[in-house]
Amino acid sequence: MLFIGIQSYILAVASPEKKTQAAAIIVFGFQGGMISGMAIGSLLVSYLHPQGVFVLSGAIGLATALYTILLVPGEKHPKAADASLGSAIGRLVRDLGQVARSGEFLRTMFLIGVPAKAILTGAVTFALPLLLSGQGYRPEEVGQIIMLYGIGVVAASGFASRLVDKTGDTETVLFWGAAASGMGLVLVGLMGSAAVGTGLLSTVAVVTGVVVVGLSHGFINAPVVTHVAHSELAGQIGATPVTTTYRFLERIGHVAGLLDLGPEPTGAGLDRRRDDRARAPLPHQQSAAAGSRGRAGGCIAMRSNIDAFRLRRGVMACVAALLLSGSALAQDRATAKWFRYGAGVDQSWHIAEDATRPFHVTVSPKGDRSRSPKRVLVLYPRPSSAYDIAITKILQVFRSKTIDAEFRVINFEMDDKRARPFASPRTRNST
Amino acid sequence: MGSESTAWLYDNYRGGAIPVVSVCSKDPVQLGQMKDYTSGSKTNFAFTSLNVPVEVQMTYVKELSPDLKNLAVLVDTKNVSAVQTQAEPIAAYARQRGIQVIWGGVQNPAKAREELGQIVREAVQTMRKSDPDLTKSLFWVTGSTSVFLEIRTINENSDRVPVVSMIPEIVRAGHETAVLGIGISFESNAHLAAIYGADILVRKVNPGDLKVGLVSPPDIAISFLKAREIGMKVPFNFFETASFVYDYDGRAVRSIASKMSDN
Repeated sequence: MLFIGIQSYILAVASPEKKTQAAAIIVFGFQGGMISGMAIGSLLVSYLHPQGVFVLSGAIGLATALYTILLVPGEKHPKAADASLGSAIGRLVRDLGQVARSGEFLRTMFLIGVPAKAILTGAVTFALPLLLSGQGYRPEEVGQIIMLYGIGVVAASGFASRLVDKTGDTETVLFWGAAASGMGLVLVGLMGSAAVGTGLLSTVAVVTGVVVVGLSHGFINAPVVTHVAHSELAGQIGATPVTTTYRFLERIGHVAGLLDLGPEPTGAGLDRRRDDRARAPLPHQQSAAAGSRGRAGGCIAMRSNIDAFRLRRGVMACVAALLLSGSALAQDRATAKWFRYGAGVDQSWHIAEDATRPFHVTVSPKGDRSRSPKRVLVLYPRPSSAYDIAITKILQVFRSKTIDAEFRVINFEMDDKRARPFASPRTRNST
Repeated sequence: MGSESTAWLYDNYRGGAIPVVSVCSKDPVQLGQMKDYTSGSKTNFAFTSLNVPVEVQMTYVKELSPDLKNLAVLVDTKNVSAVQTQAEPIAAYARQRGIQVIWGGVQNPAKAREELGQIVREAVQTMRKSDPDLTKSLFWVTGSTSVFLEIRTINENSDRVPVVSMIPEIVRAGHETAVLGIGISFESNAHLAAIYGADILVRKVNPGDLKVGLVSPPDIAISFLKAREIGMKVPFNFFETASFVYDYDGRAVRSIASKMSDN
């Protein structure tokens, strides 16, 4: 509602030759809010706790409402009868009926707007964090890569909106925006493939791909509003009903993006063990939902292999990783209080936190694994900078000797109950 | 990892099936976990040690300050392993050679900052009685976490008395540093422990056959920034063999912690 309200107001007050730039303000605000909101929320959550962040968000919403009531000049008030809920729904249904008969509107909707939003929610917000985690990227790196999308949108929106306002040619801008979006997704899909491997080139491919997708969506988000506002249909029923209906129907893309990656029965020919490798080497509890994937093959691989259970956990994981990157930081902090390591370790090792046991961390080597890796249990009596130095060196030595060993690190804080299971009589007799 | 973990496992898992390698732990012989340094444990334990033999440490100390009169030993009295393997041995060694030992024991680690401020100030006053210009006195910081984390407090109250640490990592960039570190760095110890662990995992050796892992010679760390501040001369051979060196601006100019090979 806020989104539609802002859009209506901005389009109402903007001069005709600056409609696209006006729409870009919404894009700036939305993407800027996503980027800064994640960072601010991340920082605040450790001070205010989740409840405090929600209270603060509510206070901001209240301030926005007061600002709107007191300072935003109103349009000429409709008659009371026209302002009723039933009347509004009736108008919406009528507008939907009219736009459904417009080929131009439907083409814009289903070939530009809906795919762009589906890519945002399905690929960038949902699938990409899982794929990146599966490739061993740490949550903060995942967050940074996802933020590149928002930065790309903001960076391109200003240029694209001025271009559209200057030339009035929305079709060309939208075409190239859509085409570039596809090319960006291809680059993202190359991550971890045989073509680029799993090293630096893979990172370059995914970063470039995300930036290209972000930039291309900057060529879509604001210009598409101008496109429908200047359509033949808008001339018949008015720009506001068309743009409002467009924004409403555009939500189909948000939903479709997730549904496209949704549950699908696993075929008999699929090797389920690909996702059942012991202990997903993911750094954080929300990432544990992703499971380990031998090779990221892009969204198609996601679609064929994510089962319903993982989908549910995956959605939760994405929400935690993206909308609350603060949770990632907070979870980081929970482990970081006692388990830290030097630079470069995470290039060779997966650091996996156990969500249910914050005093457990699993460290396993990246790359090809042997069938029977060695297992090493490391007991910390408490956090210490000495142990940070020591574990870093131990991992370096094991890596240099190419010993396939999985480390389980436990901070038992001198609590017998925590360490006793590992020194039990049963353990004594096992190897 | 750490003397406490080693002691816990020693009490609860000695003779178990899975090999145990100690890391960042203090001297197992002085702690009664091993008979001697060379025989091996004959159990599932392989020990390494963070400690440098006291004779070796005192050799360096005597070279640094040939006419040493006062040695203040800073230790957390609740850290039994630090008291037994670091503080008491060097204190005994120094007393035997006529050096006045000032025992600076922190009673409550949670209040180490407050306690150390007073301990160090009082120690300096005591030192001045026999060493008015404080050129023949030293503070000796043991490997007690609660103590070495308060290096700033120690520096603030130590006047121009050199603060020497048994933990090389306490010598670091900037002003909050000991002037000299003589000991086995955590990194060197972990390197040796990792080699022990790797060799055991690939069944190259049995843990019970391994002698106590001691890194030799010890790591030396020097802060020339702090040395110039207090007017301390650093023997040239210290500089030659130092693993960590920080220049007059407190910047790291040498960092070669590990001097071991795999053989």
